[in-house]
Amino acid sequence: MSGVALTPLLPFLALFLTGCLLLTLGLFARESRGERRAIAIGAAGIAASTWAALRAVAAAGDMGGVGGALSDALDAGGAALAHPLSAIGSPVSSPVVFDQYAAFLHVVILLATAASLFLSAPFLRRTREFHAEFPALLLFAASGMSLFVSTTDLLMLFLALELLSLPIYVLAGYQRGLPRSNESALKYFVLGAFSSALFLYGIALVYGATGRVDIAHLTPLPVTGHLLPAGLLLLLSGFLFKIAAAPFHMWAPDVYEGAPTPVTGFMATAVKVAGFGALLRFVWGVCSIGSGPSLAGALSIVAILTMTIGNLGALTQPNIKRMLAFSSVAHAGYILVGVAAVAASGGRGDAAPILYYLLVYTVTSLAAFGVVIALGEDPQHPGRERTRVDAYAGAARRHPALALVLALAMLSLAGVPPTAGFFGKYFLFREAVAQGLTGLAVWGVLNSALSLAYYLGLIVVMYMRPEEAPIPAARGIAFRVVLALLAIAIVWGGVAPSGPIPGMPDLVRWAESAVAAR
Amino acid sequence: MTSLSLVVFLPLAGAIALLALPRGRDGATRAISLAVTIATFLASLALWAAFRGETGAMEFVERAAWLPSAGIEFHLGVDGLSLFLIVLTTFLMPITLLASWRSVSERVREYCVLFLVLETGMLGAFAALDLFLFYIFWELTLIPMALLIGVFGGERRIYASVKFFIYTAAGSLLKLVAILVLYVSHAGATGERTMDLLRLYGTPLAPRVELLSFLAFGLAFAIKVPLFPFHTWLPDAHVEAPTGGSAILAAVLLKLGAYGFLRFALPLYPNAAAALTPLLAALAIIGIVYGALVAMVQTDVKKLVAYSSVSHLGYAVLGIASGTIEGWQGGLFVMLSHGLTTGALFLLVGMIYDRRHTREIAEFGGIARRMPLFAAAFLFVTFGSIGLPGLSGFVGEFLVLVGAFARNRAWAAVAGFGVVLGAITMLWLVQRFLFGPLANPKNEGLVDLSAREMLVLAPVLAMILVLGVAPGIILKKSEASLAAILRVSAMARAEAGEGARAEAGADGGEFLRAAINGSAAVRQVGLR
Repeated sequence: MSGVALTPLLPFLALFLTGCLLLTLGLFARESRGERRAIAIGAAGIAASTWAALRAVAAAGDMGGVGGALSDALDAGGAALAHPLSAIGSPVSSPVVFDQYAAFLHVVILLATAASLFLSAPFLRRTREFHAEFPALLLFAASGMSLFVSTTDLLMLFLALELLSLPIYVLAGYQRGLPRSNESALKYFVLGAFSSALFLYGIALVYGATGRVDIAHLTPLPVTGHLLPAGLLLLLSGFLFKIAAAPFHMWAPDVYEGAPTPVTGFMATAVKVAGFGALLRFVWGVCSIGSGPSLAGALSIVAILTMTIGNLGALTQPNIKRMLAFSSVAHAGYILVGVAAVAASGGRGDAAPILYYLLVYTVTSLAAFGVVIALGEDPQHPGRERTRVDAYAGAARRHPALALVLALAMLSLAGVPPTAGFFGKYFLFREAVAQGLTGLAVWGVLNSALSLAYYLGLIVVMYMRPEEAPIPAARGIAFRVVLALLAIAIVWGGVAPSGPIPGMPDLVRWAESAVAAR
Repeated sequence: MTSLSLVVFLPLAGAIALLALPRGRDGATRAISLAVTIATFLASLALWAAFRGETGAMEFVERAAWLPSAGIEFHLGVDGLSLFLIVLTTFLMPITLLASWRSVSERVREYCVLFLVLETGMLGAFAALDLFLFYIFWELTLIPMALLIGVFGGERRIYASVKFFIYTAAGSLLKLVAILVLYVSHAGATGERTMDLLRLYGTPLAPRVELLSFLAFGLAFAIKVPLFPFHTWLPDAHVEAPTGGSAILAAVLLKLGAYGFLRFALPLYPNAAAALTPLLAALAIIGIVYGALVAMVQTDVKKLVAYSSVSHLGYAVLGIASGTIEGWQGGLFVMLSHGLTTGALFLLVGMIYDRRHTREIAEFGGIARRMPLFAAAFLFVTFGSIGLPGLSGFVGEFLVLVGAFARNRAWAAVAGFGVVLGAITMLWLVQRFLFGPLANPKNEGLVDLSAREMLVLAPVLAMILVLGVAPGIILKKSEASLAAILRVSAMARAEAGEGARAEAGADGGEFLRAAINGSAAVRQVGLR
């Protein structure tokens, strides 16, 4: 196989091989040390993967510069890999399609991975539980996600699903000494395995109905009856489980609470991005056989349920990680509004708002989890984390910068201008209105109003309550720089989402071109 | 120099400069913020001087691309409606800052920064001509005000702050959906994607859509004004807010609601507005009477002033609902006059609170003997507030009643009764608060107004008199603009002769019927 044919796989391979390298090096490193080196290697792998992603989409067209001309480079078409089964005459198309759409999501996933990696440093240092497996598993999961968003082949989707899920099961139980962490891993694993099985069964049914394993070509064979709808429903359930949408959200609060905070942040962002990325391809596939409107109906109901349950659940959480878990469920609901709009339009609707929202949500959530990690040290119980919302009382006085970042993140999650989250919601709801789903948009903004109560509650605690006990905060330059960058991104996205800042890529346009070239 | 952006963003620049200042330099912080607000005031005076106001067209227009793909522009401009609200804002800002010179002694820098950001938010909301930009500025006023209440307020400040934020944010979010619907409908009808308010006027909408959109806008503005029954956040916010916050909240922030009706809700949705003005007027009249009655029985001075605010702003909305040029001019005048008088009342209450740390009316009585200057000022403002001829309150209420009379005599009759109730409330307060025997020994040692306090009050008192004697300075320059907005709504209604609006006609009942039956008329509008 020539090097050109490998191009679409390189972004994946870069992550996967770096993960392997980290594992190998971990064999020779002394226990509980060397996290700096490991993080550096992981970051290098992520950088290589980013470069490979940009190169892959540029391969078909003009090989422009990267940096400022990011969006120009992405205007070029994607690259595809020949399907291994094509040699034996199976009627399947290429399994890995690394198009601009995949590239956009890949970069967002890498952003989440890199940020989780850097933000995990204080946590690993504090708990004295560094093993090389930690960054390695993060990279393996990211490589699975990268595959997940760059294929329409159901078998490849399933492989990618397992590849992204298994490392996260392990990561959720990373703190072996803590019962909560074990509980988290076990719950996630059992339910996740169950949903994978459903997904697999869905694949079998779809194959039976269409004779193909490709969601981009769903033309049913004659005389297959209800096989195809049943299969598609099972597939949809699998996706909904991964993005923690109601009624498949029950695992999220417990798993998010028990998992180590950097892993929670990773799950809340990267897994969602990957899940929605694949879900959208699925939606386009379903729309191509004209079933968009009925899918839109189902997605609307799920969106309404998800938003409502997420926000109502978050209202009463005394634990910040549980609160953020429910809030992430609610955000899945908002994004589903956009997905329903795409389905309602028969696949022709604009999906750029979804991509933009995923990016904004990722940046914002990571900033929030970053501060939770920074302020998570509990002097009384070393190894455990302070996660009570009340424990943030007076944080604004002792750590004004960290409190400001968390406050910005809360405002952005609530969708208050001028933060990036506002534009995210704005574009999403505008598309919903444009596709005639005004009721869904109204429900969305009512939910945003509801969500203000708990997002604001945290700000109130930080800024208006006196401190209970001195709050220690994590140190570390890389850690702080990452947090500062995320905070700047939140404000920048709120002031100039397609801003006149020279040299900066126009994210809105990038998202648009990513979908337009699909 | 007459630059609108300068006026709008000077306070923000000042806030950023303050952030660069090291902590603990309270004196310098206060001086810089005062200088910035005074400079902003002078810049806005230059606008007033250069404002022509003959045609009702927007002046000092500034526009720049912001998000071209979404039709969003940075688009500012003023007419005779917004000009005076802008000047009112910039006029009161240095005064309230000066008033809280001593009472805020902790976190001075944060206080001043929030104040300046708030000023930019309010000025921007008055000057924005792009719906999206307006929404951003509108929201921008929320956070600083909520923090002012929540950080610097009284005992129940957190409750009041959260209540304030959730009420206003919930109202404005529905407005956002209405903005989106308008944008999509306009793009569907004309193929042009724009958030430009002036071009969105006259966008044809199905009756049902128009009605719901008007309700969404109306809810946001009704909460802000606040109209009965959406007023319950106001007394809490006022009582818990620091003096400066209360004054600005009452004097300027509430005006955003009434301004929103005039600038957005009525001209954008003329048929729905025509059909629903009786409802609007009814709520306004209930507010006038109810506010005055509830104010009468309050034991806390600040709460009393807050409820009388509800009553006064009822007049502004009643004038707006009358749909006549007199009513609108009166509404604008009531807003300005209320800004001055209620702002001054809150400042006066703050001054007495600084001395006695209580606002219970029963604690006072006879303090005019110890504080004659304070009593004189309080009495003067009270007269201005209840509409004594020759002071500012009279002109506005009179014009509103004229407008309301022209539209519906019963409105004017009930509202006129409210004037009496308002006068009783305030005069009874004055009697219990200032006069009578000096019964409470704690009041023996009260000191009269200091030079700083007199400096704070003098300009406001002077303006109450000036507006009362020479209302023409406002009315002349605002008439053309208000008439133009009235024309826009009437024209849009006339244009709607075709299509879905045909049945609507001049009769609101027809429109409502069409709106309620017309769910099928909700068109699916695609953007691409």
